[in-house]
Amino acid sequence: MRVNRLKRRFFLQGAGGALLSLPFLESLLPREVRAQSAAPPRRLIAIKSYSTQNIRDFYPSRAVSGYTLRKYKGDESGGGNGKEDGTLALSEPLAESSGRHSNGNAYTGKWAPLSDFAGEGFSRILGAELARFAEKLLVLRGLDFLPDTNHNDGGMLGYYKGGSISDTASSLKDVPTIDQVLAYSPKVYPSPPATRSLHLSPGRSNTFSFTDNGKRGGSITQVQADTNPKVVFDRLFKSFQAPSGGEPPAEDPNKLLVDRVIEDYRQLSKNPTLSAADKETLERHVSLMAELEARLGGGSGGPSTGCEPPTAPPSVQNQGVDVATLRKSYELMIDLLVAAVRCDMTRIVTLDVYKAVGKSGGSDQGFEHSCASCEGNPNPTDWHRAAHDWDQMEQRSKVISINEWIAREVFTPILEKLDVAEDGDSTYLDNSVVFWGNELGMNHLNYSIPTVLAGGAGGYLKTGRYIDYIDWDRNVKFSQHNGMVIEGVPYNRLMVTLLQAFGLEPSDYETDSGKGYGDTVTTGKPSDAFAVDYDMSAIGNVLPGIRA
Amino acid sequence: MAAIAGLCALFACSEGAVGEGGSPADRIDGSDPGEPRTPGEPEAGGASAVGGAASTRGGQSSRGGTAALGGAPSSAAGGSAPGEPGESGGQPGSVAIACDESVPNGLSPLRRLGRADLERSLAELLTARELEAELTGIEDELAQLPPDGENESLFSDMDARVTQRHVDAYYGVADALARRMTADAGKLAALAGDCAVAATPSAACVRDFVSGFGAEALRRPLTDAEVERYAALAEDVAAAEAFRRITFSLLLAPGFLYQVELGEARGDDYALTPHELAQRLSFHFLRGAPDVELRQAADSGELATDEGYAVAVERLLDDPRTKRTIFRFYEEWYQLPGFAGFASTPSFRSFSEGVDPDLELFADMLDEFDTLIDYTTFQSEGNYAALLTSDLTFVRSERLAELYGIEAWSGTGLPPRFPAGERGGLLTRAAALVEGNELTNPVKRGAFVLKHVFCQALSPPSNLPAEALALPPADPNRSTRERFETKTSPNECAGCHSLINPLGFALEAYDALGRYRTSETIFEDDGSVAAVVPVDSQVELVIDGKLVPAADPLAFSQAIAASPRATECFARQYFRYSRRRYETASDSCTVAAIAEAAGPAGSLRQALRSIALHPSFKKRAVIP
Repeated sequence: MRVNRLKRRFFLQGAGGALLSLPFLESLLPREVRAQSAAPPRRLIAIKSYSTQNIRDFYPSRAVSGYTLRKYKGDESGGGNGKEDGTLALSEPLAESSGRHSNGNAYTGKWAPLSDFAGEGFSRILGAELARFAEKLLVLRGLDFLPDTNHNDGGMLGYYKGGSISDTASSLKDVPTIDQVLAYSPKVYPSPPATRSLHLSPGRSNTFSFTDNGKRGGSITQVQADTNPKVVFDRLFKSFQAPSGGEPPAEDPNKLLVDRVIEDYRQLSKNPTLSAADKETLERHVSLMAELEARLGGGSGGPSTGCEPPTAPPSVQNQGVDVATLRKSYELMIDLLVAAVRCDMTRIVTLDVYKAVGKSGGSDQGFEHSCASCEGNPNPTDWHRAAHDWDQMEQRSKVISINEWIAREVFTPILEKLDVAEDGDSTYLDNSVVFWGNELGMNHLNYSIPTVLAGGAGGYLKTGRYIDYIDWDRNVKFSQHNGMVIEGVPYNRLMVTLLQAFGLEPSDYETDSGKGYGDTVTTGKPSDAFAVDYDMSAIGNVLPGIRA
Repeated sequence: MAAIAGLCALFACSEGAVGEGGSPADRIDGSDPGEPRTPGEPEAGGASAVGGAASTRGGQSSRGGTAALGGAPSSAAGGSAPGEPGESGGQPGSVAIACDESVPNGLSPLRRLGRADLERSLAELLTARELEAELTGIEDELAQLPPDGENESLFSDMDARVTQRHVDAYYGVADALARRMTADAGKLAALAGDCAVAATPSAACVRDFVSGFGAEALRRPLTDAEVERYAALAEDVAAAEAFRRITFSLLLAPGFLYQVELGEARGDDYALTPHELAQRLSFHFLRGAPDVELRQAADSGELATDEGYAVAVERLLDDPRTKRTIFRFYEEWYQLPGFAGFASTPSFRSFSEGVDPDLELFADMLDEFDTLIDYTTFQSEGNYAALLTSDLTFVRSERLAELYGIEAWSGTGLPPRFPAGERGGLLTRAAALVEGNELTNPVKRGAFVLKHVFCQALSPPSNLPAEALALPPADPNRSTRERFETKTSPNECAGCHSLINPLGFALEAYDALGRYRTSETIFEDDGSVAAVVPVDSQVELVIDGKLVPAADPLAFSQAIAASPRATECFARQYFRYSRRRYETASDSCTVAAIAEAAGPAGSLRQALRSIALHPSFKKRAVIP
């Protein structure tokens, strides 16, 4: 019997309880009261895929009336060459400037309604299954990493230092990824949630998330992902209590005990012989315990009415690259993710697609991005290896098929399951941002990182658009395969956009060292070979043409 | 070697650097060392010979495979010591091994228990009270603990992260276990004695429990004030709730979840108390809390005497749990836990016909690997060189014996030897050689040896031509070695690859299942045989400034074994594993002592002993 187990829910709990000294905030009110005056919460669901997208396959590249199709050099020359990349050219300028040309004059990115391309799917990757979401998507082109980043862990969410990075690594900023800035922001969670962020990964525990555990300027550590759906279920839903409408649960008797334990840590940290680092370790433990304590018992909140906990999943460990196991793992993880969002157990989720299903020789095959035991060998399951052999059509088609699978069986089902009514006319999806991003751009270039957003962040984003931020009047510095190096807009501005979409202001995330978010150094990128000339006066601004 | 970090095809070789492990390029997360992305002419590889033997690089060997290894590590190469003092884990770096007594040693950052430590500490507490069955009832709660080190650390125990998931999991474990241990009168009596079954236990009963169980949980005696503080939790509640509260609180206390070491002031630093020493020894050797003998030695003060301490160290060296700790060290060092299994392609099926490799075969390989370590370290007083050169077989499995082409060993008595020149030591055993498919990758094997056996830093090159990382194309007329030689022959590659390749080419004497071979069968994708070509595994290495030809893999292993540089690398790796952090300048004397002990005049057992007997082990330096 677990009678007084940790009540895993409930950042909507009451502000009562002698030990809680939370400010009285609207979101602490019972849901039915809150609902009359407050908008539904906003959520971020970030999905990362690896080893590039072929630009022509990711962005609209079919002939569409009213648009000019750029020439394509053809697969035999490596697939595209500079500006002749085979994509559709847009012509409608955004209302706001995107930056400046090399001559200093303003330039403006272009956009088009996504519905113009929805017929057979927006692109080979963003296929027909997404057509019904034309009004809820934002497809973005021309977002560039400024630092000289190669393979990385946290780049997609603004931390460029991790992973295998080139020689600027040591000088890059230690900042949390934006999901962690959001996870610890009182604007996202006015009181401690069941879980500040949920990190899922069928396959490996690395995440693309780096945290300071909510202590600004504190040391940064890489977050670990859940790889087993059963462990996620146990943590979030095992003792989940559906709304009863009866008496609010009593305060957990462990609360007092936890408070007392916290005092033990405080006492120890006062020992004068401990180093500053040891004290930081203990203080971090105190803050993590305090977070836990705040969740214990009491309160009158309850799950959202639309919330149904999922059925308990089986334990799935060591997913390997077996197709059926991988598929099942993703299905289970997606169900958990959706339930966690709909039950408001968390508002921040990352899903790392490090393993995926693709096609090899016409049949389904499991892939791992960088398979430790097969790396360096022509193993058919090595996604990264396939991406390197871009010149070989067979290898290229593996990478494309993996991304088609992600679009069809990972991204789309999440949108479908969230696009159900939450509050009045709006759906969970409308109140969320589902962000499918990439580790890098084409052929390991860190330019034009393929990006698609779904959902409006509660009306913050102007969706239904394909926006191209590339300054096409500039010269292409060089190109490889279907990727080119040419100035677009700094990726940092996407980070700023997402932070502000959740109500954060610059003072909530900017550091002493500059405006905007994340590193902007381009050391290691000589200007004769790389695009480095950006309008840095706008680095702290939201992306143009994206705000409703 | 079954799972090498990243694609080792191309690395920049930094001059004289000897650190490894935590630079971004060095992580064991499979991240890639470098990618094609730069236009125009790539810069030269920036390679240098290892250990300051730059002049010996390239061109000397008629065989096209010359590696310069060894030589004196450059003094404080790479500059600053890794990690800030007091930081756990820290950044790895390039610290000269030469012992400098003037640098304060004994850094000991506060760190949480590893997952293995925690589970064994719980088991120790419960088993002593015949409550160990309760552990199986909290498997779900234990499963909430994030894994240590996965994809992140050189050794899993180096992972010192404490996150919300950790703290929530600690809570879940403490809560569930405290409830279970006090669930009925029988368990209460087992936990705290017959007096605990009374409706309202006496104050003495509560205090006895706090003093006894508390001292085991916190791994030190409690002060009177602490006893009173815990005992106060029992006031005004029934017995079960009283003991539940106390147990719960102790299982979440810093003294249980962290390896707390405060010490007693002694000059400029702090000597560990006997109980802190017992704790350090125990986590170091057993990866668990002190057992009853250690606790008694601490209680009696025996551990505080040099003699008593030495007795305790010897006893721990003989403990089977220590063996398991040491096996784990080598397994993680050689990256064996990540082995993902075997391919099912037609070509692999043809290649492995008659063997039908599966994870059970890999387990047999691990058993042989561990038994060689066991024999050399614990049975025969062998040194590190012996571990790298032993030609004794320890193959108990018929399947593995067949793969090796030898007779299986009965498991007792001196095992048979491999045929002359075929194998020597760890690097040439199947566990270290096996791949998931039929193809060897000599660059991958060579980079492993350079990086992990010589502790040579390899950082990702910043400029690579497009497709530099693509594997050499299949060619039925050429051996793997020949194909890789051509692939890595351009000037911009040759610098590093003159170091990496010979180390891998020597191991071409073994196929991807670890079978000894003199010819290489090349398969078509459909599994048919395309060709059989001769294998050339002869190389020339430059070690410690001398040219060392290695005609066979045993000679290759012997050349590595004879290098002080390799022994130093062993010392670094063992330090990192057992002290759970990268070495810093302040650890130079400790690392030097391990290397000395493992060297020609010493033994591996002596090396394990040396770290515990080193003065730095018994104290805590105070860092502001």
